[in-house]
Amino acid sequence: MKITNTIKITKLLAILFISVFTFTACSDDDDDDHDHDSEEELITTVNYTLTSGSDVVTLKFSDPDGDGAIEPIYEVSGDLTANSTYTGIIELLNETESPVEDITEEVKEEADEHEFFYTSDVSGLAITKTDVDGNDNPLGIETSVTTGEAGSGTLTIVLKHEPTKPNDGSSSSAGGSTDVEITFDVTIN
Amino acid sequence: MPKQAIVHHLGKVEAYKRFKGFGKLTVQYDFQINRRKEFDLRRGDLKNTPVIDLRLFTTSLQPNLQIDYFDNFKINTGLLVRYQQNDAVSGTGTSPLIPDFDKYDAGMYAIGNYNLNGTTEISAGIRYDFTDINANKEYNVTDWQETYNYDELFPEFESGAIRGTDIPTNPRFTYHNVSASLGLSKKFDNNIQLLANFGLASRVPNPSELFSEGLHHSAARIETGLLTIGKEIANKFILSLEKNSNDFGFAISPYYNQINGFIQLIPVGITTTIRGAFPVWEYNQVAAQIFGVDIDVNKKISKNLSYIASLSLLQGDNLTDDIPLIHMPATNFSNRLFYVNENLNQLKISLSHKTILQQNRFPDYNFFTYNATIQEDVFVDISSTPPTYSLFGLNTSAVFKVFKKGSLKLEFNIENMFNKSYREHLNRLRYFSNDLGRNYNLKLKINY
Repeated sequence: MKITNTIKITKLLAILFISVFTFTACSDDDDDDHDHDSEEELITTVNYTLTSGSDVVTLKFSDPDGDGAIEPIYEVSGDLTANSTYTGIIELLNETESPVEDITEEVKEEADEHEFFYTSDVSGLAITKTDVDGNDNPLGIETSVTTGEAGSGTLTIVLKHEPTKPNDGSSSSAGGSTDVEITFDVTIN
Repeated sequence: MPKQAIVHHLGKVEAYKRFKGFGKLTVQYDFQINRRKEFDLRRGDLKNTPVIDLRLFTTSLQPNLQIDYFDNFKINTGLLVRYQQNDAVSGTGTSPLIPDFDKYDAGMYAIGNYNLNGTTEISAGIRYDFTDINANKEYNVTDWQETYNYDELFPEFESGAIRGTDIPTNPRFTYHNVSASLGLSKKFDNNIQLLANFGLASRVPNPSELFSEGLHHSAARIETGLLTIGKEIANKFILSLEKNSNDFGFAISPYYNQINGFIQLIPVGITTTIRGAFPVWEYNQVAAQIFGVDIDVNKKISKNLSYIASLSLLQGDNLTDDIPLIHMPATNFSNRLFYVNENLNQLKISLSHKTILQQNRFPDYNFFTYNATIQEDVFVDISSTPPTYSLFGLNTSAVFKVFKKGSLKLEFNIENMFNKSYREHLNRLRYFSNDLGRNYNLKLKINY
């Protein structure tokens, strides 16, 4: 009978339909050896080096296991000298990779999508960004730091990914996504 | 640009056979394949690689047999067999949000409904479920050993040598659950009915409660699961008194639920990462009780005009710590007036209102933390709840005949008509912004 044939064909089509999808599920991108990826774009280390002739001060942030249990470490190698001018260079590294991955290179290549923001509550301490991206907007891998009278306080470094450029110089109005936000205790002597 | 690309396949086949005088056998087979890729801002070569790439495959077979051989006794029995696989597809360059796992479920149940006399019915049911979860996850070594002590609690889960800061593990869990229910319904004069029900139910923890670890970007917080979480076992009693007449009805339903091993997510403090500080929320288990009452009233005012009102009261207690239970819905009540005209294109117009009171019963998980930027301790109020709010809405619809035998249903709705600014304490985005404002929507549904 006609009706039985239609039912038979529908049943057959249903079975074929299902088998296509069932086999698609077990496709070639099964990672059977469970070779799990490690975090490839982790920033584990930030080195901010300030140089004024033979006077070198390094501010180092280190969180070797990323978001893992080990707490991050902040190290400031020494005090800054009062009434001086330093040239600053910042370096971002991923030390979970071997060889160590230099993230600063990637930031430089995508300079128009990144910007560093440096702020401090120490009176007289001024930090200016001296490098620019392809559109002549500030970048901040290179900075110039001028110290005033002796004092102590904090120095905060923020890296924004895809901020609005140009902006008024504050990280909050620049928006974008925060990739780095670290605060060091600094002293000027 | 942050975005998601999702492909979802779904298929279902259902067949039945009627056995005259005995009953009906139904078999359903279904499957779903979900491939989810989430993209975020990434640097360099990883620009177009997703941050999350998960493939979830689920398939199940459910035969069910309804037996109506006996006059006053209906039986419903069946099986469930299900397989689920989550695969965190490699190539993303990030640790997967949820680890790879295989999950097997098998269950069987039987429910009976017995008609005692014309007005009384008794129902009883029993169910057994078996669940097996087999996962593969890399833990941070310090977390595995020191933070959670898993090297002493679950040494059998360690599946390989330590690689750098990670240790590969193979957590395996097996659960056996028994659920049961017993119910009674009795009809009285004047369209009044009384229902009483007792239920015993168990819930197995889900993979996020066991394995969550890391920054939840959309909620700006770190969520941590625990391997020591076991199943929830709940005992629930419900009573309901109802009246259903032509032009008036009500339902009063008090309930009491006692839960052993209630799984909750609570804030525990702050952690500092290279991106700054984030609150940390952890899963844990407590003994809890939730009880309350739902009251509904409906009245037909005239041929075309009706009114519905409802009130919900609820209280949740964390019995282990003797404090209110977190994330419990606040007392709320609503009113709705609606006009229906069957003869005028089935025109429906309804005006609705809902008030949610401020939740004043909440656990205090507030804490102090050191803010390095201002070099001061700050108070983090993560527990206080937003104030009472009321929302009003308008819903209208009409049906028109189109294409000879087809119909077009037109719906126009306004949600939050007065554009009220509010925050709902159960919405975890409330820490950052207000909830939705006024929303107009137009729906067209064509049947042909």
